[in-house]
Amino acid sequence: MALDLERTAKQLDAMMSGLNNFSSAHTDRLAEAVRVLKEFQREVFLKKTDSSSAVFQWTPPVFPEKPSKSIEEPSLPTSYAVIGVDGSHIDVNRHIPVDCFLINTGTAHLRYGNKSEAHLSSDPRLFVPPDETVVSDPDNPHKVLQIQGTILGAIRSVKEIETLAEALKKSEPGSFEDIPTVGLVDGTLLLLDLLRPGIPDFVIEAVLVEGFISALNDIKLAAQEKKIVVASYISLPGSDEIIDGIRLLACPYEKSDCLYHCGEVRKGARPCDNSAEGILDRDLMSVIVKDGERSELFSSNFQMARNYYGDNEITFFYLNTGYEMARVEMPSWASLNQQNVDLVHSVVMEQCRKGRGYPTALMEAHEQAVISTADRRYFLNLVEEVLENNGIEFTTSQKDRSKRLRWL
Amino acid sequence: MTDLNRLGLVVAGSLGDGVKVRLNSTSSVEGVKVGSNVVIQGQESRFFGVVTDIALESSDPSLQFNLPDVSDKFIRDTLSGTSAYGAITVEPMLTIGIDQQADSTGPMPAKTIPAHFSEVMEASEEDINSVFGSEADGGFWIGSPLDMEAKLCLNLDEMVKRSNGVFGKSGTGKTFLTRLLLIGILQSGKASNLIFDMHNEYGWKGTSESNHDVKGLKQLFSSKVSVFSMDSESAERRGFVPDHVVSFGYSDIAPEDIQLLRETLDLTSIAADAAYSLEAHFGPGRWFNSFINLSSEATNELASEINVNSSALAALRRRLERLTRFDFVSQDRVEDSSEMILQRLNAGQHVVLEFGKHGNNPTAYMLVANILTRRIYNRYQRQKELAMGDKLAEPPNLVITIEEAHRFLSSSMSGQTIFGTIAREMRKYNVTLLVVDQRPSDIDEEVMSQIGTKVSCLLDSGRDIDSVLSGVSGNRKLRGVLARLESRQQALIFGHSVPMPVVVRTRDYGSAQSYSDLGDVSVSNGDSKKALEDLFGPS
Amino acid sequence: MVDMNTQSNEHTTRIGEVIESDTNEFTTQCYELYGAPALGSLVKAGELDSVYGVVSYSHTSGLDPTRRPVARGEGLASEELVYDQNPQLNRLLTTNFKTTIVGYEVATQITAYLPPRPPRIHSFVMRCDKSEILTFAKSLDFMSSILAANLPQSDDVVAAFVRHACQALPEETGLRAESARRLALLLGNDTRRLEGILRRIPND
Repeated sequence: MALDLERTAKQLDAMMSGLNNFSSAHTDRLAEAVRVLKEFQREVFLKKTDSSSAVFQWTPPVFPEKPSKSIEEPSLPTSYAVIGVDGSHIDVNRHIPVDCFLINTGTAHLRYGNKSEAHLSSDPRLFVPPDETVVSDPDNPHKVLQIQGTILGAIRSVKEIETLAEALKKSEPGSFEDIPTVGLVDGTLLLLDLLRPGIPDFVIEAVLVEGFISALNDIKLAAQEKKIVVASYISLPGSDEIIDGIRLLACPYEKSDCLYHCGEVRKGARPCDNSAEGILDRDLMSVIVKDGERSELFSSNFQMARNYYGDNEITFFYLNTGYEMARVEMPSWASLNQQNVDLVHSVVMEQCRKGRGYPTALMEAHEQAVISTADRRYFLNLVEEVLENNGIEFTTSQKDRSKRLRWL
Repeated sequence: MTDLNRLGLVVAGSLGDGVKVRLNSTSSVEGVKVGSNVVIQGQESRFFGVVTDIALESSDPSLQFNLPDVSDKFIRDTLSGTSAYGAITVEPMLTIGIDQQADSTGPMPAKTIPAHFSEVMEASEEDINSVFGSEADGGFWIGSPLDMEAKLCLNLDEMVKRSNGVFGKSGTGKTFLTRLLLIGILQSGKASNLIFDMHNEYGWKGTSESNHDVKGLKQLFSSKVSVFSMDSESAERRGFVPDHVVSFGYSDIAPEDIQLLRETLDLTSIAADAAYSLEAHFGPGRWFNSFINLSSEATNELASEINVNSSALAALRRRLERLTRFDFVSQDRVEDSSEMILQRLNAGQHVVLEFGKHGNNPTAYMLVANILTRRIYNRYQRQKELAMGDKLAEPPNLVITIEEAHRFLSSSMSGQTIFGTIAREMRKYNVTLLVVDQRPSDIDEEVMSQIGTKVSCLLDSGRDIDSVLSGVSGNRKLRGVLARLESRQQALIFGHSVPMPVVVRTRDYGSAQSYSDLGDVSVSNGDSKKALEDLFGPS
Repeated sequence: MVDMNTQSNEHTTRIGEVIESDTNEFTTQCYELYGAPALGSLVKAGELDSVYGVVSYSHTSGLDPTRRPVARGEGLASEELVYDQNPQLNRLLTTNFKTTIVGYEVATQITAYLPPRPPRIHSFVMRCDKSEILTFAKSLDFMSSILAANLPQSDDVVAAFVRHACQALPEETGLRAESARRLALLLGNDTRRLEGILRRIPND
């Protein structure tokens, strides 16, 4: 037993008391935020946005006309399909002599209505050195970035969306299979990890543009002829984009120059904090959006994203699934058409009912994608065997060896 | 070999206890009878045997405690013959070779038992014939085995070599059987019959169980049979004229006769023995006449003279007076009845002596039978000794039939009567007995052991069964068979005339068919009389 | 690509494939959910020198042992709708059945005792035709191994086999009685048990 549970429990207790002190202030702030949202006026907001754009330290999204509106659940079509895609990976293991990694994408294609059917599949893809395990600069082949960690995560997201694109494209327009189809992935469509400082441009280019965005464009193209739409589902969303907008609205200064006005002010004591500090979007929406209903569409406004996403710009709404407040993202080309949004709304709701809190298609896709511990161990043993068969001695770090063997 | 009713397979058993056969699932226990004959196909021999016991067994020991639902026919049918099955015990009696045609030695007594899993089948008619012989071989058809139509035959040659017995409770058919045996002997010509017919059954006619008249020997074989009578009135009443009426003089009565009559005359042994003293005193042939007319005083005097107890002597004289009251006994001898009978016998005739009303009197029956037999036997002795080995000069074989034989052959009597002598001497002088009796346990053991063939109808006394079966191999199992015979028309035959004990259903006697089968040569009474007159002159 | 889809079977008698195999029994995974043949049916594994077995156990459960089915039909009008509205169930549930091996074929001769080796994994499993059923219905020796296994369902399996044989061979009029008598000989010392089995072979 390696974890000292007694000592850990004590620390958890301490944390709880801290949280309790926290809650009453939170309630007041939330109420304030709700009020601000309800009193929203578009012109006011636009004016404030314009005047403060350079100096406001947060990036609010584009607000809809009536951001406090809760939209009823629309009715489902008779026949429709959902394609959920999820991925899982075996990361690069520095304890083995080969830098390969494995991405496993799972797909669940569920069809409902007058001929209900399901197709479940998984696609394992091994990325092998030297070419597949790095991203290289096309202008300078010696400039490479090892794929691991966050980059690997991003590549996985790319694989997921590419798989989804393939699946969505598969049916013939006008055929029996051409029924309204919603493609779902888990997690955000905004690959902000790639847009952090420190990531070389060529990586962004290769992964985001040529990978992710390109796949979204594929879907966009196919959507012109078929009734398909793509969305992503985020459970327990931690974003506070809308709250950023609340801050802006709550800011008393005409020009919200944060540094200027509040540079010396402690966090929590700033005027906007009264309606924003510690509040998440989902907290706010929990008050606004009723069971089964959704919020109006917002649009993410990150500068960096705008540069690359184009009309794949990410719009989002909040959905009260009855189990939680979830964030659903769609590219703007898709959400322009309200019917698409309605479709996503009703389908995701039904999926969450069937899945008892989480969309069934994503759950099954996850099950297809997941690589168990046993599978991971097996994978390593397989690699070892292949290498040895080909005369390459498999020397591993002692740490890895002891992890794998676990002797008594 | 036709495909007969296969009964089952041999699964256990021993020579001492019999062979255990598990019945096939298709054979019902109820279809097998104790006493029926079966054939067992062993590995090296065919066995011929008789069913001596029948049992129900189960492969599940708890079956009788936990009864299955037998109201369901399917379950009942399934269990019958599989988990619950019948088992019969078979006593293997004889072996015959595997290939019947090739066998030349005939059936032999079984000295071993068939191997495990030998097949057991009902005996066929062919089997019966090969074991018991057929009429064509000279056998006498006495009846059929149980539940079969085959004719089961007795070996008459063997039969007449020794004395034989017919036993059974009253009313079980002894008379019918005796009559058949007599006819068999008669037909074969291997012996002459002298029948002491106590109840007038064998001569002219008899009665069946249902009180119908059946033909007697005379009616069937008129020219060969003479009917003598002790009681002419009775004969007349019954519608025929006897060939001769028998009578005796005092001189015919001998002390041995008195010995025989001791019980019926209620004499002490001293009194009975006194007859010998009287004979010694007065001389043979004369003693009776001299003694019977004595006065009481003379009797007493005589008593002291011959040294016999006077009251015993007096008692003797009183009893002997009874004898004089028989209407066939007269002081002077009218004729030599025994001589008359002998003449007929020598001429190849068979003689039936009817007793008429005297048949109900044991004293009369025993006295007459004893007197006549004594004399005839003496003559036979002499004749045989004179012949000195010349077969043609010998007297013809004689079979003497006596009823209520236990009176003549009890342990106390058999040493003293002529019948006991005949029984013991076997066919030394060409005379044998056919004893008919319902109390075989009263017959002397030694005599019983001399009886060659026993035909036994139903007996219900354990002692009677024991005495009939004593000395017979496998008698333990035959007890069960004997005790379960039907009360009529069934008998167990064992002894020298059959290769193995066998239960028969006696052949019919009384129907026209039966008479013609037996070779009825009856013509009207008148003609037969004439035929006899031609032979012997007027009677 | 590992695909949970199955091709529709060209051979209508093909039921599934062997996924476990030992001397006494083999386990078949059905192509179709709930596609297991009835208890007591005769099936064969392998296209050449087939191994014959009597279905003695069948089991439907999730493919992934860590994922258990949950009730889904509350509020739905019929059971069919549960499957209709959750089409992934057909892919995530699997039906397997076990068969007790009762015989095998070698050079077109069927022998009714254990083969030298059990069938191979992935052997195709198929239903049997009338003549094959007749061969086993006539010998019934294999019944003793099923009875001796003494599983809770052994008796039902034996009875079911006889029922199916009788139904498949209506022209063999004595089959029911004959089978009953063979069973009586095998269970000679346990009438209770025999009775129980006989009750399960009704006359129709």
